Amino acid sequence: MSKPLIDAITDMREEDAVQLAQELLDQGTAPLDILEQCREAMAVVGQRFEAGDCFVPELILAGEILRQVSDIVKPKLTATATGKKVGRVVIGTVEGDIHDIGKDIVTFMLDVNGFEVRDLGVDVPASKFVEAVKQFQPQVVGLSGFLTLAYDPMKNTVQALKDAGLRGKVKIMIGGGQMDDQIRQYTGADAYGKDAMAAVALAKSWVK
Amino acid sequence: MTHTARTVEIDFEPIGKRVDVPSDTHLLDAARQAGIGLASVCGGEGTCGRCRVVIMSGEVTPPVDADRRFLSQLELTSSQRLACRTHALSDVKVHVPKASLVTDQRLQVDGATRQLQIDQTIRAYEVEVPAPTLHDLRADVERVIDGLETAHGLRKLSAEPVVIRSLSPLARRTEWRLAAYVRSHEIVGFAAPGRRAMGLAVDLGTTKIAGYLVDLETGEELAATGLMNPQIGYGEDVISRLVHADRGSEGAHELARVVRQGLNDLIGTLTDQAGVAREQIAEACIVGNTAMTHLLLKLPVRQLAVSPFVAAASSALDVKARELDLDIAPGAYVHILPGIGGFIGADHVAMIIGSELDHLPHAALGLDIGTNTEIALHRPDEKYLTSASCASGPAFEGAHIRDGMRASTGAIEAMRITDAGITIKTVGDAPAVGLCGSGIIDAIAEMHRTGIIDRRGRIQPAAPHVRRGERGYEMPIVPGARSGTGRDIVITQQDVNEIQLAKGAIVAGLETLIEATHTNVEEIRDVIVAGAFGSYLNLDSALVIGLLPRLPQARYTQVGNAAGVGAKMALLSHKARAHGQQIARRTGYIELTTYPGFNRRFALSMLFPDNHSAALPQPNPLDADGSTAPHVFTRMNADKNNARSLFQGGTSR
Repeated sequence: MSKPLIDAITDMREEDAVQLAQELLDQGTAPLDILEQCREAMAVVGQRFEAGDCFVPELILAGEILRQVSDIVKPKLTATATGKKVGRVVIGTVEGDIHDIGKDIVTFMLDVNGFEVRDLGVDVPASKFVEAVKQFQPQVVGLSGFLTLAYDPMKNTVQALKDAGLRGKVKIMIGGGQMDDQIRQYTGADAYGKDAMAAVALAKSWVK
Repeated sequence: MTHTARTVEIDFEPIGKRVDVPSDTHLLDAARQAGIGLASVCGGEGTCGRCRVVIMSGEVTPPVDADRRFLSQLELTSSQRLACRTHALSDVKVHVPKASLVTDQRLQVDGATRQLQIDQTIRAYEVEVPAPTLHDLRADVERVIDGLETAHGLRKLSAEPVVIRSLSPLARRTEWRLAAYVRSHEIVGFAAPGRRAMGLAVDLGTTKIAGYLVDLETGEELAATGLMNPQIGYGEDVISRLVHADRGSEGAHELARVVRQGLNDLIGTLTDQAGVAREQIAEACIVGNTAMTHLLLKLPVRQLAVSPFVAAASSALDVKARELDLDIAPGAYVHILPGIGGFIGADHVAMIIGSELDHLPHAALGLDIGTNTEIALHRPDEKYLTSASCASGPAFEGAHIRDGMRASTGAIEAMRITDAGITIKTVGDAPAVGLCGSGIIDAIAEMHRTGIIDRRGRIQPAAPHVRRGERGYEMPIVPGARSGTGRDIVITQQDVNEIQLAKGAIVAGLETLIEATHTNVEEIRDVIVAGAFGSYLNLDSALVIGLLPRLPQARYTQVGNAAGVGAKMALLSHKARAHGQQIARRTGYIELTTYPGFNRRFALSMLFPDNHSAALPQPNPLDADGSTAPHVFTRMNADKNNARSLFQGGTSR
């Protein structure tokens, strides 16, 4: 079956993709099917990225297109119900750091994989993470940071969750430019993910 | 040799060329393969001592007798070696000192010359006083100050001990005839009579440093030179340098030390060129982005590296040159122009002073393209300017590009693809060794124009000239048989991506600035393109790839190093300094990274405009319906005569 929506997304044709999604909806295609097509498109983009045939800004663009598509589709989704979420994730870029590209891609990938994600944005103080975990009660917390200067804020955030007595209730994953397993140990997080796919796999393994 | 050679990577700094060689290759040979003109009189025999290099990181073979003959113990322990006697045992980073290079790199030092206003920040006075006798026991400095008052009516003069220290021996040598350099009521230096007061203006860039030696009385430029910023070894971009400076107690000292040493080297070259003494330099003016001035002044940087990115100080500063370890007149001051906000610093203020952007009677854009690209938008109807700083990265300066290099001998600076094949022009017409920024932009523009790359920047496997390389598709430009390195010079897919990232950052910054100020693009009558890369840039190519707004070419002016000109103006004139203060006060600043929708704009701006069958040199109009235009700079009216082609303002769909 030909999937013009998938092609539009993978070709980075923003306006076409949004229009096609609207047409599909109008024709009565199930919202979940449209989101499934989005996931397929993202998988294609992800494979291209891994193969070196596409690079970060294109991921942003694909993410942006998919966000617009989901903005159209999601309102219908609640109406048709069955939007059962596999788990909840709180995510944000830690204090002092404002890099959001990687975090946005992870957020999107978690979203299309059935997670309910609360994105706290960038430059998020530890106290805000604590507050969000109390309110939203996620199984997973994702801490993003690009600079080496993000190590300490990450460590502080993990500590703050511990001090608030929440550490046992969540799994914490970290990710971003300079992160590796040594940094994970330093921060006291549970795992680090090297890319968006890894983050999804981690989150899935924790909500089983 | 019986050991098996591995392949190691040699990274030559500050030129920024990397080369892979077997580990039994001497560094001199590696430099030759990389196309670097490392000096060697003896041809690699270890007998001339000219090919001196500094090993910055990685492991190399231990010193041999030849090293000991030409290098002191101290030099050896600070990892200096003769390149012809040393080979790498691991990947290494090698610093090539300027003295070890045979060819000078072409660095932008000249800016458009304009009438400089001079109101003498320093005045030089000649004075002759009687030598002390048993009947005239006045102390040395009082004697000279009395003389200056008598001869020139100067009152309330003073001098610091460090200045007096230089006076006593000098006065006896010159038999009490002296030149005194006076700043307001302070004597900043003494010199032998006839020695005019000199000034030093410096544009301290992330990648390059440009320096000018100027006669403070006449404004005449006596010498100009450039130097790579020696901090490059600690990171190519400002953030990695700030992170280094923030690491431990030594980081900040190290970064300050190397840049101060670089400035002293620069001063040495300038004074040699002009034939003046270092002590004649009685005043300096240094401009740089916020990170560069902070690192020079050893101001705290941690708060600058993390959100919300605030400077420790952004007002204009006068500091003693000796506090910065600069070896000029003992009491001389360094004036640092004020900064604006975030990373937008004194260099941007200097660029505005130098280009007089804020005096234009109509809306105008000023761009200083570099590792960070600063953009200012001037609107005469508003009382202030608006600026933004884009993280364009060092790709335009040749870094992160496989065969990228800076604009030195053998760099491809222009390129065309025709039916007959690929034609190139190199700096100094030497055999090609790599591509500098303007050559890279030309190459990408030509690849785009001829359909070798598509809108997403993908190299098309079936297009002419394209072949499969080690890491994806690539386009060879010069075969190894004709290059200066023996290796093919190519543009790879990764190279195209790097340029897309840089272009995306600049265009997204421009668009954001235009949108945030509610400016209609058509109002912009002047686009001033400053900076070294900007002045060699082929405008046609920049327009083809969508790097610059598609305004009529007549509106563009490439002004060279306007920041350097601004630094010179501030060196010579109190009025220019006051102008700088005024610019700093009246310039608003937009933090791009947190501006709503910036990432989307950045991602869209990295795509190439659709312009099939574009014919250079005239940038062609786009499809009449404009349906493919991803952003404002490619959305233009398809005016057939192309004389007044403009693009519509805003991002309307």
